[in-house]
Amino acid sequence: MTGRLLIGCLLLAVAGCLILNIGIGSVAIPPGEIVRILLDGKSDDEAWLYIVREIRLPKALTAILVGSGLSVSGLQMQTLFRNPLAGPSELGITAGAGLGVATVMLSGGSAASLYAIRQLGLSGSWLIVAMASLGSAAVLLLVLMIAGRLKDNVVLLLVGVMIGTMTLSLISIWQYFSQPEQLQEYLMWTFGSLGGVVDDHLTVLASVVAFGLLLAYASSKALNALLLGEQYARSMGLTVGRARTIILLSTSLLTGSITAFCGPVAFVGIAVPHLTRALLGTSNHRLLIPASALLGSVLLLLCDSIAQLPGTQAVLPINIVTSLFGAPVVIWMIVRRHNFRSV
Amino acid sequence: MTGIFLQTDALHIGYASRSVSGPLNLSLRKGELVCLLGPNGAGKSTLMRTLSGLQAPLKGSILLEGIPLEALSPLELARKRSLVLTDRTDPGNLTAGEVIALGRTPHTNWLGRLTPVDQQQIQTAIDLTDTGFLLSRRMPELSDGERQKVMLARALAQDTDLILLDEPTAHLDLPNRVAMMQLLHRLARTTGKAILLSTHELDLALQTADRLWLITRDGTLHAGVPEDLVLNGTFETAFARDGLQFDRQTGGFRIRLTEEGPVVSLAGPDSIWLRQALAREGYRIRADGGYLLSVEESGWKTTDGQLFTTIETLLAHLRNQLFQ
Repeated sequence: MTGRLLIGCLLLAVAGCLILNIGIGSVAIPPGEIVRILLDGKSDDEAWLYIVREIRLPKALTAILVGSGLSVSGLQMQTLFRNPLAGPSELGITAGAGLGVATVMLSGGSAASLYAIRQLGLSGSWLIVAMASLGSAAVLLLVLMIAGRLKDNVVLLLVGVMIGTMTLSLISIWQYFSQPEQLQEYLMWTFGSLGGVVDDHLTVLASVVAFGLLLAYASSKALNALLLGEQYARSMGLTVGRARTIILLSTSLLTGSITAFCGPVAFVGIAVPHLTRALLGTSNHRLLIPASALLGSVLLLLCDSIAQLPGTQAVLPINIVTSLFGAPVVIWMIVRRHNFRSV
Repeated sequence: MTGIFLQTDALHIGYASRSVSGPLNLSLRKGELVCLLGPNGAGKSTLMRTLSGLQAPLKGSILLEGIPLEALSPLELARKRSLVLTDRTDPGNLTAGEVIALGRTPHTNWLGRLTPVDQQQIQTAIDLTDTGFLLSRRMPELSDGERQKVMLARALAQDTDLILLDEPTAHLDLPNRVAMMQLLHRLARTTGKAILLSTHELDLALQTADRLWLITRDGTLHAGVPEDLVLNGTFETAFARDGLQFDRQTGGFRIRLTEEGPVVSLAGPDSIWLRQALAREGYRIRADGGYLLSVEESGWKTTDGQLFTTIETLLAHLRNQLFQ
């Protein structure tokens, strides 16, 4: 099967990008040494061992989680909305997650900023993930309700931007009463960052993303049926309400948990599903879901490698790199309008 | 009674605010092609939606092989009846082959993996609809006729004893409409499935349907063999309205135009084309009296002895003679 072959190639690409990503940085580490550290857990250079294990590997794993999670989340949204322009950040879902996070901070009476979630303990991070997912789900439901009344795909994008702005305004009220240094931290959060998700936080993020991906894969038959529209799906025995709930749950968990830990990461969710469809030439979700997850991982590892600005000490925020790469893809899709309705 | 697949018992259809039709006691046999006809707004779509299980009946029940529709799980129902909808679906970049394979959805496991049995059923559906040459084409690239055949193949792959089609010929041109009706007629015969379709194609339905369900504007449903419904006048009353006349001789509708012009009578063999042209011009055609036209082998002869070989020149002459 060509599908399996492509998945195999993508797996190899993920491995290659992982080694590349770990090797790049203020201290360059040769690929052979990285493989040895990853497989044997040994290295001649103790500093290298420390850098890989404590800093770069967690960051690369976070990149894989973010890339796969957001891509699959976007893919499900595009099928659910039957709209190729749907994506977690485009429809304001990430803003919803941000609102969820802000709610925790406010109700806790804490003066801490969104950025301080990294300083929270294990139970705190579960709470944040739950609230971020709830925030995502609330916005998603709202957009879904409005989408039922719309005929034009581009208009949905506008509605998403409006709802995102509204949600961000709610956060701004809170910002308005914050200290300057907290604002700076919030601003840092909006740039997005893959670093700093280690130990317990990485475990929490990894388990939530894995669960979300499994839910998505389990929905692949329902998603395929939904490609023909709700009435056909129902006529083929699909319980549309239940299928939709599972898809919403998966999308909210993926977007919510990732946004809570890494800030908004734009355009991955909208662009990767399209690239995957173009690459595989199919709309079959049983292939698209794993392939999008892998391609999303590859792209985020690459974006993060670029963000390191190899050869310099500076590091760009990840959201800037993904936007620079993703926004042109979306513009290209809108311009090619004849093919634009294709999910 | 054997062979009855679908039966309704004192079924009332409509919406909470408005009852559309009922009580309906209908039955649909296996191997039978039934066409549901009726003027717009009479309730064809409501009946189709209700029988499909997409809309709840107001009262009464629908039985599939004796089992009430509401007692079936969505999956059980999906294995008994399949649908082809009017609305043009936009299945994105799916190929025709993938769409047809989706018909197996109610039969496959949780991941939708196709077994050899599924492949066999898909192949049968492809063979029956002659869609083999379309399989690798993407849905947006197909013509309306091809797309409708693919959607029918998908319904066949679902392997149900009942297929409901809501205006399957609505977006098709005449040759494709005829081909679709011929295909459905053949399918009912060869596969033994019960096929119900709603349509506006009166003449095609008259020729291909084993039975007609005719809804009139007041919501009454008349069921019967097409020819009976024509001969007892039901067909005519269902569609009668000003300016439209059903011709029992030809089984077609004639547009009735104003009849206020001069009286013309015809002698010789009847010619429907001459009648049509005269009616359009506003002449009243009577058995005798008025201006006499004799139909001859070589053309049409007027009372002043002139012979015309085309209707155009004849009409021009009449205009000069009779409308001075």
